[in-house]
Formats: sequence, C-alpha cells, structure tokens
Amino acid sequence: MMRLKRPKLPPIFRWQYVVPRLAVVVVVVLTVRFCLDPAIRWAIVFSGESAIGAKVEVADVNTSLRGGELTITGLAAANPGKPMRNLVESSQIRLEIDGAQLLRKRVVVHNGRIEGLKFDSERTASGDLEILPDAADEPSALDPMFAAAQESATGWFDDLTGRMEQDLLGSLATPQMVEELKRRWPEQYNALKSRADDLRAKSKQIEATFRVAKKNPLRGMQQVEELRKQLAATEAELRTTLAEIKALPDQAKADRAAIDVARKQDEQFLREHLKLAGIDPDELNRYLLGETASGYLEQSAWWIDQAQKFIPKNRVAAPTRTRGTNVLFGGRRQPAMLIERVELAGDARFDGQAMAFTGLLTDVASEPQLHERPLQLSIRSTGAVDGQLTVELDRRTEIAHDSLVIDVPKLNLAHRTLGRTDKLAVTVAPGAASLKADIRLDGDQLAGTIELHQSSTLAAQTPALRDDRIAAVIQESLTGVDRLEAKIALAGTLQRPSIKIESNVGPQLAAGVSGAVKKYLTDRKERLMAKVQGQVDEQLGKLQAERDKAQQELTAALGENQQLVKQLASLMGGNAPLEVDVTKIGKSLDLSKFKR
Amino acid sequence: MLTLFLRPVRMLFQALIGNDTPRQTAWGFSLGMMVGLLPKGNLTAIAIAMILCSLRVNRAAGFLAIAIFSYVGAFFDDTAHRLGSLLLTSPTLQPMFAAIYDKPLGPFSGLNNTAVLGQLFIGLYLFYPVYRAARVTMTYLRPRLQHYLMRYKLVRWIMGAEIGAQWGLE
Repeated sequence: MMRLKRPKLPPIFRWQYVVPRLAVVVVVVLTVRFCLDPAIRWAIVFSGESAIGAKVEVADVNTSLRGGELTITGLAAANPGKPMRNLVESSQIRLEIDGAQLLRKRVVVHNGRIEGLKFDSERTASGDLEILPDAADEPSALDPMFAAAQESATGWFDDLTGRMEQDLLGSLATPQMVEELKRRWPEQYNALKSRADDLRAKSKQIEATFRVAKKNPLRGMQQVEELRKQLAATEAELRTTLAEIKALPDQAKADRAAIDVARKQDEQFLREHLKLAGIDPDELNRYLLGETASGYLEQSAWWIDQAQKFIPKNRVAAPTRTRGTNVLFGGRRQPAMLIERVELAGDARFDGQAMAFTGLLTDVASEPQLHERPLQLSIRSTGAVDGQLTVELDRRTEIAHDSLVIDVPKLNLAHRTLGRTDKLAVTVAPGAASLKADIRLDGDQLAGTIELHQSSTLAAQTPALRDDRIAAVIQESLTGVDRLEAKIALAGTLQRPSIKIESNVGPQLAAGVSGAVKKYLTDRKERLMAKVQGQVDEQLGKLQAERDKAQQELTAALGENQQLVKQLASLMGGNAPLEVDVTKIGKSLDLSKFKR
Repeated sequence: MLTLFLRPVRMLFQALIGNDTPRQTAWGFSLGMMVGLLPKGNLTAIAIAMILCSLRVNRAAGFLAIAIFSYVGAFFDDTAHRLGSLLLTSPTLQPMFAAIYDKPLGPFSGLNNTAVLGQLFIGLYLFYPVYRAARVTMTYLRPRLQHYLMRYKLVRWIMGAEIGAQWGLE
C-alpha cells in the first residue's frame, strides 16, 4: 500500500526574522551584563558634571543584577567655587535595589550605606571643567538691610571721629573777638599818638607865630586874632583827645562785655556741636552680627534651594502621553523612585577641628505626595561639634513644609571678629558655645530662630580713632562682658528673608560707648572753654596793660601840650592860668591892648 | 535611494498580488490593524508588532494596515478613551487591571492608559470581522487583480525588483 506523503506545512514562525532578533536580544543582555557598570559610571559623571559644573570622578561601579546591588567606589565631586577642594566625597556608596520593582517601572532602594563621606576635602588635581568667566555675585536680599546698618554704624563712628579730630578752637567766637581787639588797639593807639603829636606841633607853631606877632602888636593884631582862633581849635582838639584817653578804661569794660557775649555763643556752639546722637543698639547688632547671620542664612538658603531643585514638587506631574489618560489605581499609587533608608557615615572639619558624623536618610521619593512619610535626614556629630541635625522635607500636602532643627549643646568656636576691622569691630575670643536653630519653611514663608550662646570675652577695636583716650574708653566698654548671646529671628520668604537680631553685644557696647563718649565730650567741652577763658584773660590783661601804659604816655604827652598852651596863655595875657578849657585860654588873652 | 521610494510601492503590490495565501494576508492585515490602532510606545503595541513580524503572515499587508489604521485610529480616540475609562474604573474589573499593573513589566504595558486599553478592545472586537473581510476580499480579488496588474510592464518590473531585493540585489 502506497502511503501518501503528507505535504509539509510551512512553519508558523518566520524563523529568519525571529532568530536575528533573538540574537540581538542576547547581545543586548550580554552588553548590559558587561557594559552596565561603565554605562552607570558614565551616567553619574556626565549628569553630575552637568549639574554642579565641576569635575565628578568615580573610581569604580559594580552592579549585581541578580542581587540588586549597586556599589559606587571613590565618588568625588569637585567644588566649582574652589577647584582644589571637593564639594563632597565618599569612599563607598552601596545601595540595595529591588530588581523586581525595576520591572514595575520603579526604582526602590530598600537599604543603603554611604561611607567615608567628606565635605570640603582637598583634591590633588583641579576640579575645573573649563575656564569660565567669573559670574558676578548676585546681591543678597539682606544686603540692603546690612548695608544700611553698616552705613549707620560707621556713619556714627565717622561722626564721632570727625568731632574728635575737628579743630574746634578755630570755630569759637571768643578767641576771634580777642584777636579783633588785639588788632584794633594798635590802630587806636597810633591814632591817639598821632593826634597828640599834631597838637604838640600846632602848639609850637602858635607859640612861634605869637612871639613874632608880639614884637609888633599893631601889625600883628590881625595875626593874633587868627592865632586866637587856632588856639581855640587846638584846645578843643586837646579836650577831645583827653576825653578819649580818659575813656580808655570804659572801653575795656565794653570789650569785656562783648567777650562775654562771644563766650555765651561759644558755649551754645559747643553744646550743639558736641551733642552726639545716640547709637541704636539694634543697628549695632545688625552691624556686628548681620554679616555672620547673613552668611549662615544665605548658605542655608542655597542648600534648601539646591534640595528643592532635586526634590520634586508636591503636585503630580501631568502625564506626558497625549492620547488617553493614565489611570493610577487607588491605594497602589507609589513613587517611581524611592530610597527607603540610607545610612551615612563620614567626617568633616569645623573651624579646623575634626569631627565625625553618622546619619540616616529615609524616605526619599520622586513623588513625595504618593509616599506616606516625609523625607527625613538625621545627623549626629561627635568631636569638635557634638550635636544633632534633623531635616524634614514634607511634600505630602499642597503646601510644602520643610524644617531644619539644629541642637549643638557643645561647640568650640575659634577666635573671630565681628564688624569692620578698619572702623569699629568686636573681637570674640575662642570659647565654648551652644547653638540652637529651628527653621521652618511653609510654602515660601520662612520662620524660625537661631540662638547662639558663647562664653567668651569680648573686646572692642577702634583702629580708626586717633584719639587714644576715647579709643581706650570704647575698648573698656566691653571689658566686663564675658558672654556673647545672640538670637536671630527669621521671617519673610526664602528669596527675601528678613532677620531681627537680638544680642547683648549691641546694647552693652552702645551703652558703654554712649556713656563714655558723653562724659568724654563734656570734659572736652569744659577743658576747651577753660583753655579759651585762660587765653582771653591773658590777652585782655596784656591789652589792658598796654592801654594803661599808652594812657600814661599820651597823658604825659598831652601834659606837655598843656604846659605849652599855658606858656602861650601867659605870653598872651599875663599869669592867667590855663585851664583845660581852651576857651578860657582864648578869653584870657587880652587882645584889647593890641588894638591900641 | 531608489529602494527607499520603491519599497512602499513594492510592499503594496506584494500585499495585493504576492504569493502568500489569502489567509496569511488576512492575518497580517488584522494584526497590522491592531498595531495601527494602538498608541505606540508601550509593550502591548511592541508585542503585537513582534508577533506580526515573527509569524509567517503577509507582513506587507500588516504594514499597510498599520499605516491605514494609525491614521484612522486617531478618529477613534474619543471612543477608545471612554471605553478605556469605563473598563479601568469599573469596580469589577479594576482589581484585575491593578493586578496586571502590579505585575513585572505591567507599568510598561500601557494597559492602565484609557486610549491603549480602549483601542486594544476595539482592535480585538474588530479583529475577526477584519480578518474575514480581508480573507474574502483577497480570495476573490487577488486573481483578478494579479491578472490585471501583471499586464503592466512597470508592475512586472517592480515585482521583479522585489524578487531581486529578496535575493539581495539592490
């Protein structure tokens, strides 16, 4: 029996298509198996360098797909601002990744450990990617406030310095008045002396003319008449001059009265000029501690800003798919990426002193609103800084709530200087301190306090003051202060924060300085007035002596004139005495006998 | 360059007058219809495309159907979205879809998307009618169309070029 051969059916699969694709799949799997580590290493370096703008180095990456373990060894990210230092460095990062969750489009790290964590460590090679032009530093939102405080404080200080250094003596009216008197007296003396000389000359001339006229009375009758008139005029002038000389003591009284008025003006001037406006303790606090507070706040704001860039917003991202809607099943909504728990261990340096820290980072989620717990970072440090840092970033609700709590009961702070060393500064000696901070950020609203207590001696420095006495007084104003206490209250927004600084330094320094300066200025005013008074008395005494001497001299000179006029009177009319009143002299001249 | 322009035309003639059976052509066209309807970029569409390419069916008909139904499918998006929403939010079916979503590779399947699920169900619903229609059409139309088209030298040349292409001649 002939058996019919069944026709061979074509195979259902197109093996010529399937086999090459399967080969490709095998190649892909092998590639992933052997090239995944370099690919992850490249991805970390590339994305890291793009993010921070400086070199990121990874020594080795080792992945185990079966065990779901990723180990990164020797990670170092350079500081873009300081190329020879690392921003962060870690000797080993080990993450346990849930492989099954990767097939569910999720990355879940159940456990992890970051060891050898170091911040700001040294590098052997520069971390610069390329030479970039330095970006101009953007002004801080707090800069105007601290600039105003600094301007106010340095302005006050400059005012004080200016008042100390100004030549007040040159501005007073009393010395000027004395100078004026000194300048005026020689002119007056010369004028009187000149008039006395003139009178003498005139008298001589009248005498000579009279003697000539007397020899021939009939011819000289007219001339004698003329001489009588001249003698009357000379006598009048003599009387005026004598009156002025007699009035010299009265003029000294008037001068003294004018000097008294000038002195009163000077006292008023000094009272106004040496009245120093009181310095505001709050302004002084802002001036001394503002820069430090601003630095800490700006650094915190930068870290929060950086953290916010990496932490997704609380809203669910809009689906990228344009067709249809992705339904997220209730109760099963989970973040695409979740780091459940990572232990941290490392060391750092604070003020040049070594400190070790351990920490725990939990619940880092790409969609925090889908996760039941907020991100928490807890760090415990020992060594130079013995304290606790707790950070909580809660994005589960519509408004983000972030908090930062720092509690450092023991902290050794190095020597530092507050304020401007070229104007007014306060140096704080090294000492033990405690720091507490509780900062909360609800949405954009910033609130919180930072408290610092330090047991250290304080000393004020005033290099700009040239007056050693006032400098010593200011320096002594903080001698008794052995604690630095500062409380900084934060408000406003992260972009535009405002701070209020309360400290014992500002009020104590302000009170000490104000009291000392007030006392110093009062003393200075009194010393100045006493000095002026002494000078005035001395000058007036000299002037008075000169006047007395001149009075005697001039009176003597005029006495000679009187004698001369007396002789003339005797020549003209016998022995009639010549009174001071020259009209009598004129009348005593018996001119009738010349008329004969 | 010439191949780039000729290949779609060759595929069209291959689909219409190729040597595959009407059954293979109908299968290819139906599978292509499903791929065309589905939004791309998910494992479901990729898996059906892989099936289309792996099975011994008329790929040219499949690619033709993908081109046609990718365009036509956009008009069904509203319907597909409503249907998908209905299925995904149904209290009865939701646990099943949630379980699928929770399975490995579940999120990559796109089955939690209303348009994907809606178009998948529309495609499944239309699969047999389209298969039957395509098979009948090809059974009756192919001999006549083959006879008609092979009279033209251009068509014979293109089909020859196709054979040459299959032999590796460009």
